[in-house]
Amino acid sequence: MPSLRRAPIPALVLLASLSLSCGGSTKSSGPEPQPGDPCTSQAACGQLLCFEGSCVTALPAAPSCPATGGAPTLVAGAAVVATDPGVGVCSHPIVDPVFPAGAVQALGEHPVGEQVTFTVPAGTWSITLYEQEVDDSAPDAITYLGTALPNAAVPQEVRTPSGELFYDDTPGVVPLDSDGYPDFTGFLSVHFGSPTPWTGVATFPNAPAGLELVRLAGELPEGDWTMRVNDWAYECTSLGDACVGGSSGGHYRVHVVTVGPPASTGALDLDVYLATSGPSGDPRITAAEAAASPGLARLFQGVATVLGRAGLCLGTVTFHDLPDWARLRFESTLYDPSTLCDEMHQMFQLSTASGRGPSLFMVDELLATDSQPGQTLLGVDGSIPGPSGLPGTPASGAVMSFGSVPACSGEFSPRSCRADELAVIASHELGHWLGLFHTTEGTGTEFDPLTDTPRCSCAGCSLLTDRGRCGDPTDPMRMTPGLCNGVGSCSGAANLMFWAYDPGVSQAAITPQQAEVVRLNPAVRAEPAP
Amino acid sequence: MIVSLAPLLAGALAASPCLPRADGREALRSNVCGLAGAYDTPVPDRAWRDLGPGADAFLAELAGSPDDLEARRARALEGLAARGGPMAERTHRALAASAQTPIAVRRGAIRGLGRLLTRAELSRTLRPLMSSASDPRARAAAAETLALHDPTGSCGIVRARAAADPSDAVRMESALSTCRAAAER
Repeated sequence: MPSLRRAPIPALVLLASLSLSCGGSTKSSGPEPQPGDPCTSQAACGQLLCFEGSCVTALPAAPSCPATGGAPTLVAGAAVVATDPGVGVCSHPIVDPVFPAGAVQALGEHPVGEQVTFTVPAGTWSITLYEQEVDDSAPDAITYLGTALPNAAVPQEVRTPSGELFYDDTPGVVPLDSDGYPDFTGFLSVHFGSPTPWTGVATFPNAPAGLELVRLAGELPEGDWTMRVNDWAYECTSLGDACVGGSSGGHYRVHVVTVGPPASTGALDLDVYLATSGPSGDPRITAAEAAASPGLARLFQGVATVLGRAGLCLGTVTFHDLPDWARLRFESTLYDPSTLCDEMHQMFQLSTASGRGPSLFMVDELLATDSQPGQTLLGVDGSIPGPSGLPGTPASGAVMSFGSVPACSGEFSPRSCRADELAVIASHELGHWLGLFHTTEGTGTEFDPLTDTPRCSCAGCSLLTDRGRCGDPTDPMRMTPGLCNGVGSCSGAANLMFWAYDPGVSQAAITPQQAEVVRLNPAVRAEPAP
Repeated sequence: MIVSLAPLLAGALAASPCLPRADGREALRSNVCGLAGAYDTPVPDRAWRDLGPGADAFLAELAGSPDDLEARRARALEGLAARGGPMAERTHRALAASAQTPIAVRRGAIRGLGRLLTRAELSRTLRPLMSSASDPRARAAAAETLALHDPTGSCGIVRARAAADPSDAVRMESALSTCRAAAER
């Protein structure tokens, strides 16, 4: 599952200690830090932020979003026009990013293993690396330790102008936490590897040390960076008997997008595609009806409320009708994680609007088909993060199921308003698109790389009688929200990105680090809408 | 006034079985609704079976709750189907038969019958639904379930039904595909 995409091939990055070894003053006692105090590390600023050498209460606001919480604008956009490729017919077109000229660096086509150079200008907050497979040059799947895996296009050896390793995908030692589970919190950047053989995207930094590194300097190191074009099939060739099906034949078209400067706010626009059907075969709701629907207005106001906690303003939500053939085929969408040629990934190729923001598909029913006869899901993303600004690829979508959406009045209340509950689900999937992983996975053995998101480990929080199942791949525990609703070490169910939603427990909370990761995604617009 | 408000309050609390409750079933509620709320993770049968006594009634209540998300209600049906038993069958039959059931829930109930009934009983139950349900989406779900669980006995009438009605042919694409795959085996 996309949100479970904790790659068996561990994604590795440089330990933060290598890059933050310059240290800096720390204040363990004395007066509380004040805005304007000089700093060389976050520790010097206490609850404030160390930004460009001074303690500040917040990063500067982006012009696009002076204040969060406003109502989004709902409009009906152009209907999608596409001919039916036929049932089960897969394609994976190469598309150009939709960002304004000058914001994208097109690095051309390169074989795996080749090092390419890109420029990080002054004031850059994040870099996003896109790889798109050319001419079916790479295998779609490999077998690692006996398990079949879709191939994944992921960068390798991302280096700063001084040659420092900022991210690497090659296997190595990952520290373990006190429960013996992998601990990625010390890394500059991580990528858990969505199984996306044709379209890969990674946005860095996305781990605490990398986030702090940028904040302290106010930018990523300026100059010529390098990365190695890569996919799992290429890594597979160096893993000996552990991996079968490797190849060094993959060629990828590479693009780089840089975002900056750091900001405390930003604006997000959405494109929403409707795959619904009533008994007659007509749409259950059209784009025009959706734009005028009080229930959907409430739903997306709820999304604005939740994402506002990350400093985002929800700008324009544009609804799109799908062609009849697509609507009827995908209103009950099948997601099969064992193949990238399933209905969900085919549907995502219909995300043809030219926005940089997420493409959210709303369907009548979403089923996972890796188990028979199919299990209902609330939502899924094509990859984590989503390919912002790259519409029309098999990974270019998030999908959620929705039924009736009666309007509500009053304050945001997922407990009493179905539209608000759906808003939490939509926000969770958008959180994945914007680069957030589950804070705690259902097994309680995998966690996101952030240090301010609560954890709920199987070893520490499951019932004593169940602990023998912790880490058991054949009979894993499910750390339900009720087990993770405490304070301290067994908490986290209140967070938006917990693996399960319980209306009695969830508060759709977002931590400061999660907010920072979300805001530096290239889907987020700093400039006001044109 | 306090007395007269009590029924209203009870009604509000009963609106969704997944809201926190003070009736001694909070632990059960938390476990059931937590599993039913997994965003993007299929729940293994074992997890549903581990819920213990009392869960069947709660799952049935959730599956039938008109005030709950359709996806959560469908998940509750999957939990019941994993656990099996008379209440599971009764709940599935009722929701599958009713045209008032939201379509995502109804399709879930039809699919679940495939796990709960014997092949002969499934055929007796779903063939009439496939032929005469007023909602073609329910007809298609019945066709898919029959194709999956009884391809030898049912694919002939699935094909016939799809051939008889062009709109059914489109919606029964998946069932026909399952039948083709079964024929090739």
